[in-house]
Amino acid sequence: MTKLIRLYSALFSVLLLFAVPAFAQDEIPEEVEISGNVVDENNEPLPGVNIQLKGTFIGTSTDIDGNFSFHVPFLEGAERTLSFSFVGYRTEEVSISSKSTGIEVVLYEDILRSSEIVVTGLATSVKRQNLANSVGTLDSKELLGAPTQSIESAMAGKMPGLVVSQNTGAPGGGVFVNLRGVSTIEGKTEPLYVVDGMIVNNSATQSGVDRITKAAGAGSSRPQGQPVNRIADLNPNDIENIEVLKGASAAAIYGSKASNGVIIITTKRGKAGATKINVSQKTGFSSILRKIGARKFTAETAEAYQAGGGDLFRKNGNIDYEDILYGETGLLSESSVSASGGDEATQFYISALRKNEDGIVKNTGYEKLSAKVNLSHRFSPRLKLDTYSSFINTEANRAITGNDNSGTTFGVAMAFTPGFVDLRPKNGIYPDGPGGSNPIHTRDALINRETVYRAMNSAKLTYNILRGSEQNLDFIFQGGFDYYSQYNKLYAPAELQFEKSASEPVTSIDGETRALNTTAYFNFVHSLALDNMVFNTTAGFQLENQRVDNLIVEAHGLPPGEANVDLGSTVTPYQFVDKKYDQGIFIQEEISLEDKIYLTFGMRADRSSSHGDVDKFYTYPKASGSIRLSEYDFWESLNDITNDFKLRLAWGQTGSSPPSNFKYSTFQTGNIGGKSGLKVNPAAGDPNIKPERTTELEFGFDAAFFDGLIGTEFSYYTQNIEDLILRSALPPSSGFSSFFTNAGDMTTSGIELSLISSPIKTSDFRWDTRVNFSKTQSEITKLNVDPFNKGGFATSLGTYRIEEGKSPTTIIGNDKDGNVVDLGDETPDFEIGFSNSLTFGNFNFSFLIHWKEGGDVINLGRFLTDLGKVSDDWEKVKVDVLDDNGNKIGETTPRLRGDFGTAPWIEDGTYIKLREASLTYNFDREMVNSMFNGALSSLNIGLSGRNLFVITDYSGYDPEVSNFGNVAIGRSVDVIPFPSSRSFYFNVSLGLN
Amino acid sequence: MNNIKRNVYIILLAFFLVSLGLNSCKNLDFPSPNDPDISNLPSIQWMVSGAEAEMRNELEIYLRVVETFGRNAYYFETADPRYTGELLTGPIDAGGFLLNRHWNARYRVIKNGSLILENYSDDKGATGFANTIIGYQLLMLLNFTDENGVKIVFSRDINTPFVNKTDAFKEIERLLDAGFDDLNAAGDAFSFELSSGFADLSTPAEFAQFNRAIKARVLVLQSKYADALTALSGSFVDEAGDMNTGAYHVYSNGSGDQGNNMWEDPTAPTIKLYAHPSFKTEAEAGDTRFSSKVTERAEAASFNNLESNLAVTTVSDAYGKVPIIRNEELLLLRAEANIGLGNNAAAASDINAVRAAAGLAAVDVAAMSADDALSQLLHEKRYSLFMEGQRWVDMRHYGKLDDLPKDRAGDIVIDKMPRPETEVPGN
Repeated sequence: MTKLIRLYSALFSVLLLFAVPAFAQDEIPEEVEISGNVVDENNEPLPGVNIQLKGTFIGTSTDIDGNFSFHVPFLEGAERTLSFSFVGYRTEEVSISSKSTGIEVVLYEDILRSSEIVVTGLATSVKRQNLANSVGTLDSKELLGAPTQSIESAMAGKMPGLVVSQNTGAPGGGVFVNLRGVSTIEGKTEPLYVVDGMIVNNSATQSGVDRITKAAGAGSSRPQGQPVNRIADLNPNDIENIEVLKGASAAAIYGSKASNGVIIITTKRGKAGATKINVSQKTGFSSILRKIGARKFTAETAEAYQAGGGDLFRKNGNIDYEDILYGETGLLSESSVSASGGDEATQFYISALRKNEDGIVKNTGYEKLSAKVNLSHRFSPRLKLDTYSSFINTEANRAITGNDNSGTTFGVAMAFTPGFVDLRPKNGIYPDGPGGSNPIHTRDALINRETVYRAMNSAKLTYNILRGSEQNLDFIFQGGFDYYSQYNKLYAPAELQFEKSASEPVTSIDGETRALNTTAYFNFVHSLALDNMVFNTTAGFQLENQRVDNLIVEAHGLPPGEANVDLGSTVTPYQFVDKKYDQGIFIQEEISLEDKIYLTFGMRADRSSSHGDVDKFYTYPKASGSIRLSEYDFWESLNDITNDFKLRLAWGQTGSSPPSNFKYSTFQTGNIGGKSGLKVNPAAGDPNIKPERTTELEFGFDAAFFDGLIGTEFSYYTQNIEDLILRSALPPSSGFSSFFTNAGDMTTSGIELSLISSPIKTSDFRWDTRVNFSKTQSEITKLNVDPFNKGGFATSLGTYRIEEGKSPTTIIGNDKDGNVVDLGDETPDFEIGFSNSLTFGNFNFSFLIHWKEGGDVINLGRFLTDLGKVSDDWEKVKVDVLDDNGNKIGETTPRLRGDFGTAPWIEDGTYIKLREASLTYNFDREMVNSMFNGALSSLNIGLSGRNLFVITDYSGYDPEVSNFGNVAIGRSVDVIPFPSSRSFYFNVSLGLN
Repeated sequence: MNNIKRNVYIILLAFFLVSLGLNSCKNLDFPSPNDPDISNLPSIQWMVSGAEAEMRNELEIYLRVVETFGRNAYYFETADPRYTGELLTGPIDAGGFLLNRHWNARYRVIKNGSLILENYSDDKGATGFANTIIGYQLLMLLNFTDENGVKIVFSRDINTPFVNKTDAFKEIERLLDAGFDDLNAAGDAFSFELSSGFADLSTPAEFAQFNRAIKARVLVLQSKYADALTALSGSFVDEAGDMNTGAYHVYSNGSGDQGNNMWEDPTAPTIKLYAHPSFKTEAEAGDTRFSSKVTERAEAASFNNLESNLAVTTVSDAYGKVPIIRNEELLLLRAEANIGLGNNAAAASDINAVRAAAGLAAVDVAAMSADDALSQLLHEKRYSLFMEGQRWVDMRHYGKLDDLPKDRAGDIVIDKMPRPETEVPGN
């Protein structure tokens, strides 16, 4: 009966908040001392092992020599067990009924990382062995195989279901991160980033470069400035670990922001003890990953190309413009220092970073300055405060690449410049180019600079309201702000070819974006440990506010050499404010039965200013369970094959709020002759718009086979996305062209499989390997509007088709007769990440291979070089152009002649990339100590590289490309971006005593 | 004691956190931070200026299209060969921008007009302006689609039917007449200011003359010549007046305004808009309408097997104005109506007034046959109204599209635009 009452109180333990006094006066019983030592299988001491008295919250951890000692309440005749857990090792349990001191424990390596602590709610976490979802984690070591400009690139290929794809090779970033396939058509594509408990801003603000390239003009009005999404500002070196909640069943607790998954980043913190200082210097260089080549002219073909071309060819030969523009060797340098330490009450972590990377194009590059201070202070046994502060300054010089309608970008200008035409400057004079500009001149004179100042500050306050041997109640406040200002400067001086012929030469554009995110979470966490059961109850509410204010001033007709926008003869300002306030409440119950069965139930309710009905709470429930079958007696017969087997099943819902402006029908500016005017915005809003809702069912298993030789994680998921937000066409005679509305359903399903193994584990040679496989596919299951095309430029140039029964990433085009046909799909057949770490003696060699099979790309770069008759294969594939009477009137490729319709522009984007490779030598600790007279505690040197090679049949620079940046539909369009580069580094890292 | 201190701390902390929470709890219901909501109509001035501004929008595409159809011009756009392909060879893409840009913009002007009619019904000046503008925009649409008709009910329902050409003209006349009545009841001054494009026609009484001028164009296109003469008598037609008196679209470099996208420096290395070579071969020697509207470039440009060296100079600079309707057209409309009524003698004085202004000698229209008089009139209209979008419409009106030159084998003359697929269910 008592048990029943306690069970009841556990299930509704939030109510216990009001019953605190009743539990607060637990008698403290007599205590006994427990002590011992923990080592690994090679008999090396293990520091930091977590030790807990089972069924209680009493515990400690081992010191640097693997020793531990603490007091537990003495209970006559009670069966007491200690649980030893440590990340990367299997948890061991030891009975202390017979022995309380001199306990010797050996921990064995665990391939499944069962004791890793994984976040499951807004304020709770659980050991991986109990987790009911597939949650991916990366620690700092796994993350930093080779230096990177942005944190997203460091995750590529390292986790099944996580797709990282760069949009452009331009310095500074611009990277797409997708979890588990397509989840929206018009909505946000990026996962939610939570850094140290605070939602950070990952918005991508256009630089304004479109105003020079006119890319967003005739064919597509969508912006094509390929902006950097601002998560790139984080310093990867500060990251302790990354957890990835891939789908709705895991991320439901983040409600209407979580349909694209959640990436939880935790930065490093200090530990009590001697201060550790680490200094590292990385120096290297970058070069173009792959050239596309150009047509090799002869005197005859040059003459045929243009009158007088033969003579030009005899004078100039074939000039390699790719080499001139993209052939630079960029110097790379990264200096970083960190210090951490503290005492029992106060711990700190401070770090600084300076990174300076030149691009493979002259006058391009990326700089980052970052400083961070994380502090923890325990005011009293019950009150603890953690603060996280960082300041970041980045500057990227990105040049001008990608699509354009003005002949200004490198790629488009080069596509119309045959190799025999010499555009190299002589005596400071740059010849005019046939493609609308001289790209060498543009490179030397045009400025496209993006500068960001960013401050991220957050705090976590933990107050222990109640602590007993069986239960615990904490109040946790987490909150903070993330502010950045981004400055964009674009300047095209008067002498540039395209400015010379402009009606008002000289373009100067100043952009400023101010973005502020604030979050405040108020959580109560109650834990109750009964004999074989642990209950964790969390409840709380969240406030999340975001405001992004973008202001661009565009000026033309400035005096030569001047950049101040107020000097322009025509000055046009633009402003866009994105304002969104969200409020949520949630409750979650986690139940652990004998550490074998683990159940979670939760519910989040959200309302948002971006919803049509701002007062309505949209609810997102979740439920999940896991069972460790291998812990049961009946499993014993199978123990020879697999001694660790867990089944998991999870279900949950998340939402995706519409962009903040989708509910408004507004006027827009229409001024005339100094009189202010307004006209209707042709894109009407939906005053009843609601969030998209994703329901996910996931199941899978985790297993270790043959005594931990091979570990497996397998998941299957299926997501049903309802109320898809679509831009639905309106008859223009209404005055509107389109309106946003919830009008469709979609399913996405896939499998994820990881195989982990350490086939060789001797004291002087060790091989760890991991294979990640994932496959996803989507289908539009319901469409309440007419099927429509999205993305790209025109049907004849390849576009995406949204139609019931089709994959939303279907690429369509024309066949040779002009009929509209399916020509491909952007979604790859599968992706595989293959990582290896080989350690022999003091050497470590690691590498990561990333294989994407399938996934089509619309290569309009090839289309442009064909139009300019400079494609590298032009000579091989040329055919005659005939007039109506069959007379030859010119030459072209069968691609341009339309012999195959749109198909030649749709290419297979399969690639195999060596993402990362590193060779490191770790000097012996003793040797380092004696060599440097005790000044150094550790020293390692090494070589590392990123994107060292790529194998692909794709004819453009890189099948990893998106002309339109981070869009849900219409990514894989290539209009000659900034080419991708490979980078090499020499690294020295040392620890100071 | 310690307990009391602790409790004080806890209470202070709780108080702080609750205040923080309440303070962070923002009101979720706010209007768009960017633009005024459509339900929140600003003053009449904003709506009128917005309508005037939008009337210019995509106008350059419309003029390029109809002047290409009418073999008055070529548009050599390397980035978009449709200007020299589709427009001269057909078939016209019912989903293409050459049709949709103009179509959508005209109906956006109509939306502003409808909002004025709904919200300012007591302001006769405002409703007079709105009815006139809506009628004029429908005419610009009907010019495009002709027999394919237009929609005269402005609804979000895609099943709203098209009306045929006759009914469309009827509706345009009704709107213009309603506007005319309103303007006559509007007093001495508008409650708003029009742009400098209406400097000659800025009071209700003067704007009523603009209304009648448009009505005259509408009536002539329906061959209602007697009615057209009546309408013209209420317009600002003036045989002794400046040919350029009238209504214009104006441009400026002011904030939120737009420049004239049709402007090109005729001496620039590459330009896109060229006059059709026949514009030179058929010009009379000494016609200042030829010499002032094109410049002959030393080198001809060729594109897609078309060639011309005649740079168009109808737009004076990057902010040069574009006529809506002006005295020169009204004189020619009066002549056209008179010729239509068999009254060549009456037409002669108007035609010769226009010719005199162009530095040309008088022609004896009175002595001409009806056909010759019409041909003479169409010749004058072509040169007087070059790049004002009239030639193709006029040639179609008189069934003379087949007389237009076809430059390449396989070229055809398009007679009308299709109905946009965005207006037709099932696309």
